[in-house]
Amino acid sequence: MEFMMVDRLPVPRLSTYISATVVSISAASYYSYKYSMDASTPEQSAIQDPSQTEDPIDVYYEQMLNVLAFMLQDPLCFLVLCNGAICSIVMVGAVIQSLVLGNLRPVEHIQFRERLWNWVIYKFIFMFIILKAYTLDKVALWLFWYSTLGFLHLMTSLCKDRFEYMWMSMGTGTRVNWKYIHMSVLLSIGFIFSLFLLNFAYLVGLTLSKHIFAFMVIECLMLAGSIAHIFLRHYIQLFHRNSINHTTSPGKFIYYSELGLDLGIRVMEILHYSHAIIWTNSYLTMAGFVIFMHMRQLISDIQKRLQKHKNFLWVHSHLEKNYPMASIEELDVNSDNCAICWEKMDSARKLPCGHLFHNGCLQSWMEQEPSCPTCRLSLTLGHDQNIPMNNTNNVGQDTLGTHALTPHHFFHFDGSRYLSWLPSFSVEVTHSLRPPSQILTSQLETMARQVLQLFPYYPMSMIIEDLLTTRSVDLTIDNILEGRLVSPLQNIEDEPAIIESVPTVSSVEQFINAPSYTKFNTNLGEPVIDDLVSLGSQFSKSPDERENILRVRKQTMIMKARQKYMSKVSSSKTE
Amino acid sequence: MAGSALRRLMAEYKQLTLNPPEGIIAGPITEENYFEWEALITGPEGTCFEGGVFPAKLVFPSDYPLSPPKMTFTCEMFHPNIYADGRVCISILHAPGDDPMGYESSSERWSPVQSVEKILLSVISMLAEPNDESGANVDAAKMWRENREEFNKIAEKLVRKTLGIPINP
Repeated sequence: MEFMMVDRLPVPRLSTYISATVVSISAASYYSYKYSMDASTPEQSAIQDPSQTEDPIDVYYEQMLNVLAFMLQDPLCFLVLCNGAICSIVMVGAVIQSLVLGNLRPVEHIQFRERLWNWVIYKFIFMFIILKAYTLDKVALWLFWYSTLGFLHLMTSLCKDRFEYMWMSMGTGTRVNWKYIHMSVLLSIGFIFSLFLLNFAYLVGLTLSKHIFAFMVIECLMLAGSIAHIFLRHYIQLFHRNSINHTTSPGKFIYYSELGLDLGIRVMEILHYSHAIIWTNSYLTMAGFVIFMHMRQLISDIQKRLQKHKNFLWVHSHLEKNYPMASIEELDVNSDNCAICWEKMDSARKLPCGHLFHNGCLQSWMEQEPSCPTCRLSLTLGHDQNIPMNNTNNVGQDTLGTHALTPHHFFHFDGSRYLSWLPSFSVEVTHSLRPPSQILTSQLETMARQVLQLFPYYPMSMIIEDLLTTRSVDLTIDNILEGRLVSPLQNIEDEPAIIESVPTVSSVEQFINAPSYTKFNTNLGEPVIDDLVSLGSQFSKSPDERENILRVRKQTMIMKARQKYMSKVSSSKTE
Repeated sequence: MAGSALRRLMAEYKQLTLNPPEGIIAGPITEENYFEWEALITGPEGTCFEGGVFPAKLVFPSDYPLSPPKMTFTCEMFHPNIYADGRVCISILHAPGDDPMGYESSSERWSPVQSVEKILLSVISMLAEPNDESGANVDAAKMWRENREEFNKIAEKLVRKTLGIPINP
């Protein structure tokens, strides 16, 4: 769902939108009040005469009903009312956001805006071209349906982003736990709502037509699926954080259900779109084109995911088959921690070069690069034992030692001696070893252009370079926004602004640049230096204390460097 | 996964705090986000960068240590292996898969057994002995080869700048 133009479309400020809605609603009600009064005065005076004793509240109530009935009939007023309903949903969303999530980070803002516009555009196409909602009441109903769904979708993706951000911080305090609980509650409510909507689809959609029922059901299922996916990923993350040693992984069941959900949501989306296209027969229309593009993206996502899974399976079986777990004696002899995660090894896998690692750690490294992390011994060799034609096999096993020392493309050379088709096979293998990372250059260029639109003063080459490592537009934008990627142009023009955007760095910079070089040996310096010995040898348990100690250590280091430099300069002068 | 990355970073932070190597201080910028660090590196003695304290920023990926962090100097630098925007170009920071310059053997590149400490130590040795073949900053590489005196002068200015000492006292 990546529309280039979407990036630039602004979203009106919340307060402007709400006040505009309030104004329009009051204008519409005033207008309809006037009209309904004009229309009903003759009748009403006739009716009201005998019922003089009526309660004034009842009269107001009746008038209200009159006004409302009029508003529902007048198309313009009707739209205003619809807008009012959407506005109330937006307000609910804003309240929930401020209660649960607090302020959004700039990246979240951008992503939110992008998602909102994508949603609006896609559903607009869907409503008018696929569902052919031309009458006012139909439009209103679909509008309501889609705004509710869209609201839930946006909330879910915001929560997802926030969860991912929170995994990055060390916090385990009660405040963070509360945040987790808040967001979980919010997501569960979203899940219940999606089930509720599913029920609604069953009750209403089925009476209308089977096709509409199918559309509604798939939309609800996609929402419920994505919420469940977030929960699952969260569970896996928690597992990784809390598991003391890396001997266990979250388990086959969890892995496969995550994979299943991930693929399932995308397959459902593809089904949804193909159903829409087939139903309306709109292969060659603009809407059909947009939807086809989107489906292409989805299919390539699925392919990448499947390739990653294939790679995972290969590494898994490769490890199981060729490298045994280390025995207890071997573990006793080896007192080191696992070199990948730096934690103690209670059980480990042993590589032919004698290095030991946690099974889980080794697995995730091998998915990336099949070599020993410590000595870089290539570990692709065992792969030739999987090849069905076994006449090379004996040779491979006999020369295990020599083979193992060579990089893996040597094996492909070897294979060609025996069978002409082997080389092409092994090329395939090396390809799948670095699977999801490879992006076509054309794709890269479009991605870079997208980033360039947002940040025109960044050189294209730099963006492409960053995209090569991040492999996602969002992450690169993230990098730029958070100052990790600094444009050389910008650097010259407004240096101070960049420094300001990195708060802690600024404190050090300010400290360095402060014109206080004359007073190194004033009272500020000395006690700090005295403390250094004790500071250097402790690692506090409290985060605040750690932060302070680090700051003091940095300042002391700069101070000492200054002193040393000045004394050097003065001694060279006296000479 | 971010969970194990976090624990590993915590362990590295602890080690760097308890046994800090000579001339290196490094730690997270804030305790809220362990994936962005600031490091202070002292210019190695006996070189043109001697005495300077150079601040740099390290940004870790969520699958650290499987992928290398990115390192950027936040002060002005002039060095053959540092881009104009401060990014550091040394082989230890390159993932085994990619080879932007096409000259490194994979044995010099990133692997999970590397650590922040090793990165910073190799940056210090890079400051002492630039690799003028990599050419992240071509002007600096040329000057390093052909006009060492001028290079030393610029380095001296940078050292003074990081310490906040005016050029002409």
